[in-house]
Amino acid sequence: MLEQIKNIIVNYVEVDTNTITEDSEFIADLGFSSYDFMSFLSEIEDEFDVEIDEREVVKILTVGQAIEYIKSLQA
Amino acid sequence: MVNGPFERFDSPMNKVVMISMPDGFKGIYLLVDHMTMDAQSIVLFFKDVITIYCHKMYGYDYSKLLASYIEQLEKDLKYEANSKALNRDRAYWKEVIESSKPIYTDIQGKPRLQEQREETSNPNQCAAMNDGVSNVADIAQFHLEPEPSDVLAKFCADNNVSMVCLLLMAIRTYLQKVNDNQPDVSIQSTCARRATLNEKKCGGSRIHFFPCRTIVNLDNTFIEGCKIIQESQNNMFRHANLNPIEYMTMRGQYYKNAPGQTYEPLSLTYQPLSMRSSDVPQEINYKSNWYSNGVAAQPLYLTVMHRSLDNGLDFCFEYKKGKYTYEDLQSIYYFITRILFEGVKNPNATVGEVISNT
Repeated sequence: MLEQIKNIIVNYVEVDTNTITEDSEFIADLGFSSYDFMSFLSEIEDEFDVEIDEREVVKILTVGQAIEYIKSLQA
Repeated sequence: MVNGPFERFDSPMNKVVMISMPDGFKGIYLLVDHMTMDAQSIVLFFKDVITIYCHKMYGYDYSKLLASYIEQLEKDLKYEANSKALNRDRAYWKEVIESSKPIYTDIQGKPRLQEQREETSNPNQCAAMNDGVSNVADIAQFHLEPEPSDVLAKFCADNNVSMVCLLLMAIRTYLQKVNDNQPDVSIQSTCARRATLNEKKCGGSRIHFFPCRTIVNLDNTFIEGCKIIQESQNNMFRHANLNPIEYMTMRGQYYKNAPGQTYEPLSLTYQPLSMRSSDVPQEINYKSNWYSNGVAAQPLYLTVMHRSLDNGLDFCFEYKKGKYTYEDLQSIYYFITRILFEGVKNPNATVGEVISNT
């Protein structure tokens, strides 16, 4: 799943996929703006066929947290 | 240079001339139809012009080519074709509309809504007519110096708050102040739907607008208010692909609004893109200005953008002259900036305290 997420991330920001880790923060490290990040979450919903709760969005700061949350929705 | 709008067919819908000013400044005058370009497009256009100049003069690299706008349109059409995302967005906005009714807060205070309640004999009326005057308009520009502009930017960086949220907080606090401390305030907020790299580089404007409605009480702190706005904005961003006209129609029908009735007294756009770039020689000096074409569709539209000369903030109020005067806008700008700096200085002060101190 990390590779899938990385491939989506590089549609939004100009970063080398090799520099993206589970600890990478979307806004602080990868340079996402608020709109970029919200749009990214919508793409995640389509890609993984999940529905992200608005109240959980504030807890997703890192790539790892995004992966964990998606997995919890799929379980 | 032009008398009237551009032709809509077989027309480039723009005109570019080189000019030489009496003060020795040589520049480019661009006249363009808003249907084809917005502020971001204009900044990117001039950045490309400067890059080409620097390539020819100093050997700098050319800009990268634009992404395909046709592909972007195809993506939009796929969304519109009853996609899951469209239905999700539609359901979200339907829930927002039906959750509770907003209330109109006029930029000049309670009298407007009060008058209309008396006219319709409806003391509970919440929407108001905010227009009905001619489209003759002008632009009032106010310039915030670079140093205080930097103070605002630093506050945003230190507190994880976007500049647009800070601006919305100042404007809504002003509306709250002049409307008897009404906590429920709505402002039309634009969303430039440019998230992916292709969306950022495909050209075209892709602007949608939705109300940013927030309820901030007098005992909330200024920074809490900013965070409330941030949450509202984030939710809007997640569902911003819905056609805003569909949203406005849904809302109007649900609340049985008469044509022209609204809950928002003005619109706000913040343009973060600046002409200043680290990619070109810093000794190139340039300035830009925005001229009114004499008409406007809305009574009041505030665009906040960075000046090319020194990156300070310009507050550009496009206003209908039948509704507002330049002095009205001076007063509004004065209070908005006072609230901004009072809140930035004391983010843990309550909204009530900020209002009292301004």
